[in-house]
Amino acid sequence: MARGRAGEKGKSRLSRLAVGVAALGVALLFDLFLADFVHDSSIRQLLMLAACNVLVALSLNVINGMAGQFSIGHAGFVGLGGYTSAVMASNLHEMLGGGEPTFARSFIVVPVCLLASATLAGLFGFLVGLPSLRLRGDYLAIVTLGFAEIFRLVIATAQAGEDGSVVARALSRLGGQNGYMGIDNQGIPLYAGPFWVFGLAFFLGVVAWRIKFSGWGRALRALREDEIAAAAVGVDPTRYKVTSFVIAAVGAGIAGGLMAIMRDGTPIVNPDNYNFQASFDAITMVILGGSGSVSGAAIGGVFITFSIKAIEQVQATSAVQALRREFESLDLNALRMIVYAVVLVLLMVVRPEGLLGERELFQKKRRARG
Amino acid sequence: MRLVLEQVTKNFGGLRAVGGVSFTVRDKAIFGLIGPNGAGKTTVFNLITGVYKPDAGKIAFGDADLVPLKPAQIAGAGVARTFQNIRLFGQLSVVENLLVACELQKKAHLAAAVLRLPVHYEDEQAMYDRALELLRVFDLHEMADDAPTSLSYGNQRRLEIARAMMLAPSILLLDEPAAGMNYGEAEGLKTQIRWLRDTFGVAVVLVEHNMQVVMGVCEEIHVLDHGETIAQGTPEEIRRHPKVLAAYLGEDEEAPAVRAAVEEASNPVLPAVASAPDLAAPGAPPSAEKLSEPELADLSRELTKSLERGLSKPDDDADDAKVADDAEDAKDAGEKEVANVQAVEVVTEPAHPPPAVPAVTPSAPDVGALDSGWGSERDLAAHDADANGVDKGTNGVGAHDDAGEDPSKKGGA
Repeated sequence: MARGRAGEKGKSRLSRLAVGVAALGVALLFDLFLADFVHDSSIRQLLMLAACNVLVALSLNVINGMAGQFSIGHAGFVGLGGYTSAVMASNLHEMLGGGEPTFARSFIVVPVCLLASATLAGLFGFLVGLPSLRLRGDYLAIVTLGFAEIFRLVIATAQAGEDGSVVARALSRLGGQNGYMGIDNQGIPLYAGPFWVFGLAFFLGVVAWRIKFSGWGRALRALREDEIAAAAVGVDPTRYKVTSFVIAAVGAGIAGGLMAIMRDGTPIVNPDNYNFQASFDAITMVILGGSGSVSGAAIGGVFITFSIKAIEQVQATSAVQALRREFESLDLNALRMIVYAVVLVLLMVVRPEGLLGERELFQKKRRARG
Repeated sequence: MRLVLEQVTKNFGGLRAVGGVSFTVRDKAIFGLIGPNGAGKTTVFNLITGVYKPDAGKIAFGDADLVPLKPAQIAGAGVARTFQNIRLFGQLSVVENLLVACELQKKAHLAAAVLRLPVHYEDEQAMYDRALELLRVFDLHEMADDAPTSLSYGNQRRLEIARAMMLAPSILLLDEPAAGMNYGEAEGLKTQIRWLRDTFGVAVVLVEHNMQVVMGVCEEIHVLDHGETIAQGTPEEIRRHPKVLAAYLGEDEEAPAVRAAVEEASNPVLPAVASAPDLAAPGAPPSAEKLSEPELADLSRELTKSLERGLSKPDDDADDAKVADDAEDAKDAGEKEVANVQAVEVVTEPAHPPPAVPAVTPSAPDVGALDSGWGSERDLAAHDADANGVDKGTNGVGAHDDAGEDPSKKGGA
């Protein structure tokens, strides 16, 4: 917010530039040397996955937190971005001559893929956002969930084969239920290294922060509070809601696109990765961190990613395995749901507004009086 | 710019909420829209501001046809409003509530804000300065960073008006601004409404049940009942209009008798000014009240005393002295410059003629004077003084009536 900035404007611009360059440098160092000091590739994958999930949470926060629209189909946009990016990367890789994905080449592939993901996701965000003008609350949630499920099921049920329409043939190349494995099942070229993942997480985090602390973010919050009053002071609900939907979808598309071509992973772009569970995870991240809080969404994204991993570790312990041998019908996935449920219930009881509420970490103290 | 409604009709299912209502609000007018509960007043506001679309009829503001526009566009066209049930943005601070109203005037849009271009900072700073200025005008600047929910009821209403004024509107629609205000606060509101009009040059349309405010401040009044126009005219005309009386007091087989009785009771002597209704300078010229000089002096002294009693805050001393001075002046000359001290109006100014406002209203009250305009202790003191004035027997009308109007009825006799 622009309070009392007049004097320090020049200085703060310089320092912002410095921070940006420093972040770029750190991301570059990560890319070159991460493998040297984090030897376990699964940990590296986890770190990058956390960054991607932060992006998912940040984007969902725009629509669920700031605009107060309840979307429970965020995985649909993530999946759209994932498939788009995977297909683009595979084809670009082929065009560039195949071989090992190199860091230099990633500067061509990654931006193109993510741009395509963002555009397509944004387009669908616009289409899904349109009904949000008339719907609110539960009804809107159903529409978003419907979109995500339609997307997932269309891809999952596409049959392999060369008959049928152009669309059907194109869809069938996406691998159906088994997931997309690249052109001729060669696998997806993994171009997005830590430089891209952490760099984009930082960069888009700044964007989300600035969206929140701009007149636009303020208008969005006003709209959330009272739509009629907001319209009466010139905030057009249509424009702001649809725009927020598009922004959220673009963010989700970028996050999904990154995840699909993330290095160190075993990224199978699979419809099951974009089911309702994934949407629910995203909502948990936002609510856990504090609806409307940018830093809260980031914390939620990191926390959920690591807790999923931690639960997997617990599942692998001998005690749980022994328990499983005892009770054959025991579903280990249920363990995760139980932990989630307990965490959420505790949170709702202790801190209904989430860890941070709508506040931010490192938020500047409000100036006393104007 | 004038707001013109032509044969505006709105049905909700089988219910005709507004049927063929036509009126014109002139530039910089203070226009009252009254009627019993359910008469369709708020619906008319909602039709003007685009919350509802009329089923038939035309609504135009200046050259712009408002009917096809969306509420946000109508706000952009210069039509600002407040709400009957206060609608503030609870999670935003007081100053942020005002800043939201700047969205339309902003030069820096989303991309500029995300890139933090210089225009973004200039915009934010300019908006913030303007918001604080307005808050200062409405005496809310002390609470700029507070949550609006922590404000008192009267302050919330003022904040809503401040937020509407942030749009720099040409017309301001106030929906029951005096609801929940005590007598003193309502008196202050009258001053404030005139002040808004004179300072910002806005036309004000007022939906209000409080007759003290409506009759005291409006230059023209439009009366609705069951969605239809039953009367239009100056406060003086409306006050005596048989249909208005019927709508407010009910009408049955005994109606004529009841009405006559009521009229007699509330308006013992009706001046015959209605014969020459003139909208440009409506209302009767104030005729001198028949109080003798010594009587006037007595009243004035009493008033001064009661004011002094009522004002206990030391920092109000300066104002206090001013009030006393004003009272002295008023006693001597019976002049009109004292309109911001309602108590004095009541006693010494024979008729406080609302239509003659431009001359009467203090041109630009300073913040201190405004402060008093909104239910400060001085208003309460004024209230006391009013009661005194009425007791001293102008015509014994209940204190709920607009005391400023009453003497004229007597004076006409």
